[in-house]
Amino acid sequence: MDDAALVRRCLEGDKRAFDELVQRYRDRIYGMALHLLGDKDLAEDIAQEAFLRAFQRLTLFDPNKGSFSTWLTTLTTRLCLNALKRRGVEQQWIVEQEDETFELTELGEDALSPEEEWWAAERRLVIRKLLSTLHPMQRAVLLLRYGEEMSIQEIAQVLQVPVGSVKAWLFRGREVLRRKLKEVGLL
Amino acid sequence: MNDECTKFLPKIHEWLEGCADEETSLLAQLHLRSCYRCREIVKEWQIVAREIKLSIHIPAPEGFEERLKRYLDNHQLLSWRELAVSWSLTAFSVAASALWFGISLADVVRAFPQWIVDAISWSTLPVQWLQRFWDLISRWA
Repeated sequence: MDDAALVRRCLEGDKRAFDELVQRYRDRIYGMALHLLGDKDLAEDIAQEAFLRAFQRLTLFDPNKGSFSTWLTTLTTRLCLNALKRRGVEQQWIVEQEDETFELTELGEDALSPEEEWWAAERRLVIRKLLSTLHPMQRAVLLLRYGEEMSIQEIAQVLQVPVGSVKAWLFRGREVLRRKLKEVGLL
Repeated sequence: MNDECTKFLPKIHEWLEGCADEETSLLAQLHLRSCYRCREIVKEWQIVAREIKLSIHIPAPEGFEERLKRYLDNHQLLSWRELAVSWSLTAFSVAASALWFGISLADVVRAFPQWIVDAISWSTLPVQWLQRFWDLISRWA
């Protein structure tokens, strides 16, 4: 069943339909929040707040204007950016080892050997660490463009900034990340 | 990477992202054809994008859904509680206003005849003062 159908069922009072939506998007929304905020507890709070707002404002969701995932990502991104503004200073995210062991078992890439799987996890860990060193807006733009595959116009709408700013952040963010990946020998 | 590459890289990026105009696209492609280094950078950008895509999903912590369910339930309960409190306060305010207005209205009605008497007496005050003054003058004279 597609997202729009689940939203319709949810609006008809079927709570299990919303549970299904949560199950589909929890990792993506939590991942986005964690990437942007760099704090596990805060990321969970924000992810929960995003789902709560989505639930309360479900009547405002219009499938003709965009997908449910874009709508939910927009909610999450704005909540994260507001949280960052409230916090004032950006904190660096130190990825803990326990996350990675958890991720290995959760994501488990079937086609890879244990060694390859370990290397893939290592790469992801480095990428996350490097992403966390970027400016929050550059990070948000990179995640929305390459993680969520949103168009530049969509990102401009989500972040409520001009398209030119999105283009500039995207180029600088990608270039900085490329150089950093090269420095650590991953390119 | 030379100065020309530095100048062309944003254009190439714009073209790759599909948001460059015709002229920029043409310039970017021409430069790419002639520059091995920039072609390498484009390849590396593609790897960067792929790596970001791969790193976006992070498993939510254990018990996330249960906590969310509780959060949703609590919030709904809180909403009902808030609604009840706000309705009670509104009803109380309306009742208090009505009572105050009723009492005030009764006072006004009750005091109205006296106000008319007072108003008449106030209106005659200057005449009374004039009379008293005249009496005083007459007595002195």
